[in-house]
Amino acid sequence: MSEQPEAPNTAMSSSEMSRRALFTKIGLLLNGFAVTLLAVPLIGYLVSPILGSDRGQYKRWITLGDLNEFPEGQTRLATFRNPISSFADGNTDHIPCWVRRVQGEQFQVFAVNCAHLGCPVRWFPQSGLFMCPCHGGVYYQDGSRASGPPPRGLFEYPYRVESGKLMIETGQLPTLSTSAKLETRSRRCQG
Amino acid sequence: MSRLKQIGEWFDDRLQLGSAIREAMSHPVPSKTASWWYVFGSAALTIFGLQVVTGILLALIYVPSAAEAWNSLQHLNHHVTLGWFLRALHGLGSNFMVAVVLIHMCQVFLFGAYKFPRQLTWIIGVFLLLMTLGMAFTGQVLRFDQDAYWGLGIGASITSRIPLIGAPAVHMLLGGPIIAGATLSRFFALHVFLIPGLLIGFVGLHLLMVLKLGINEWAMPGRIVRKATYEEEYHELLKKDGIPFVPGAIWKDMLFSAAIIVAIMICAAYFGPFGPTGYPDPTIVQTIPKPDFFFLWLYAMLALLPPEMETPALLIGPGHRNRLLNSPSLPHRRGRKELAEAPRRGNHLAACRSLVGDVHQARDLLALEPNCGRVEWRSPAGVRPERTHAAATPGCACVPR
Repeated sequence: MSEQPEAPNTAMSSSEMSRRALFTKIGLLLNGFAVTLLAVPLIGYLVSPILGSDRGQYKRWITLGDLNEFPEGQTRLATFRNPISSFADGNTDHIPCWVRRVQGEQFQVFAVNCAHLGCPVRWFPQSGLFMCPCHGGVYYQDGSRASGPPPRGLFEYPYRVESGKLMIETGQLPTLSTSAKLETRSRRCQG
Repeated sequence: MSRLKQIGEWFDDRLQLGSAIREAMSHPVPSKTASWWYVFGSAALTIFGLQVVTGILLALIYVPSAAEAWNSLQHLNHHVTLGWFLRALHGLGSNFMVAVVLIHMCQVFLFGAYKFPRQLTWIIGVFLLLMTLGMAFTGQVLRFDQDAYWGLGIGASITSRIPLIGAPAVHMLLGGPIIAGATLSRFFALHVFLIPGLLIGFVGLHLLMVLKLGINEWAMPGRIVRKATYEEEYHELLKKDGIPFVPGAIWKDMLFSAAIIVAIMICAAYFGPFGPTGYPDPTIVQTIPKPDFFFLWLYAMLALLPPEMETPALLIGPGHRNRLLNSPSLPHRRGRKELAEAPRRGNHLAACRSLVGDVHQARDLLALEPNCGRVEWRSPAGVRPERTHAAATPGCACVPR
């Protein structure tokens, strides 16, 4: 407020400024530390779909149905409840798949999702082909690519037969990279 | 009346905004820019305002849950008073917004407004376009029907083509292993919080730059953008030919914006809301998924590409398109704005690699003007060379840089 002698004033202000600058730097440092600390749970929450309790391993063995629901030599649509689901899913955790019983206990269980861009392929028994409504992808009855843009055949779920029940390993939307661990059989192996 | 003025003054004494607003309103613009060509930016802003208002109103009823979203849309369509009209306004508003933003971009490109010193305005404009398209896609997802469900499947399939991190990227996009409740919730957060927040911030910057740098002047032959002299010349132009934005230019913006709002209302009343189409149950495989028109070109292109071209086109394409949209602001940042005489300047290799370079070339060809490489326009301003013999006239000389 009142006039101060010039010399002590400048000395005061210069020493005070440097102290303030120091505290400002400490303040910045502490805030940086706090933000870094806060970022750990925030980012942990954000990336929970890949690093959460499931660690991106979503696949489980589930029962698809009795063997006698799938007549030999036919391909039928089956549906199952996704092994991982939540209260807000509505019907979206009801997942379809195409089951082809070749003979006896030899099956092929195809994802409905086209290998091109994931649209639902339909089975046409008259022509013995799977066809995609989106971009014209076509597959043979054994799931191998017949024509169109798909880069590969249909995705297959691994299956096993246990006490008269057909079981498949499933749990995630099959795409070109999330299906990498899903078994794919080439046409040669079918014997 | 004086009572009202008193109240106004009471607020302005405390807010201190009056003078800034008056200054912004009366900022001078070149008289030729008070043109119908300059109304699309303000129209895009007006539609954005409409989208914010109708979006908030729809959020009063909409339930962002995979179990309930479709039912809440049916409820809006059939049971809530004027719910169908609000949905139609918001849906058609999005179509109009994409269209007007694209028209705005074309106008800005053709008038050379991306040149110095407005490069950053253009670049932010490109991000605004991308965010507008992001709003269009996420909005289509919120209309949680079969098209939305399988559209997400297409999005996940495209994401899965990213090398190495494809699988975690898909799980991050979907919020889990499958398209389900968590997926809709995160697209709701994107559509309602994240992208609109960014949009408001970037629109603010975009407008601030228009105010600070001045609106792009009408492109004229003989008027060249040079970094050293441009700003002085622009201020000279404003002094000679400037008119205050209010009321000199704003009335055209206001008339056009009003016409657009009325057009959206008429379309909404006539066409009604978009869907929702079938219930989002993946076990219903008898469905033909189709995106809204903004992405139909991409959807169609994916039927035509050979398989080995798809992953590169899908993954490199968007980044390249972004670079391509941003490229005119960089290699062509100086020189002419006027269409017929735009010379090829800057890095030719970069320009030729991009479609924009081709467009520049096309602009030259359309004007029947030989492209003589690195051209420096040497004749005094106002003297225009014969178009067909531009290279031969003394006005146009190829000079090494």
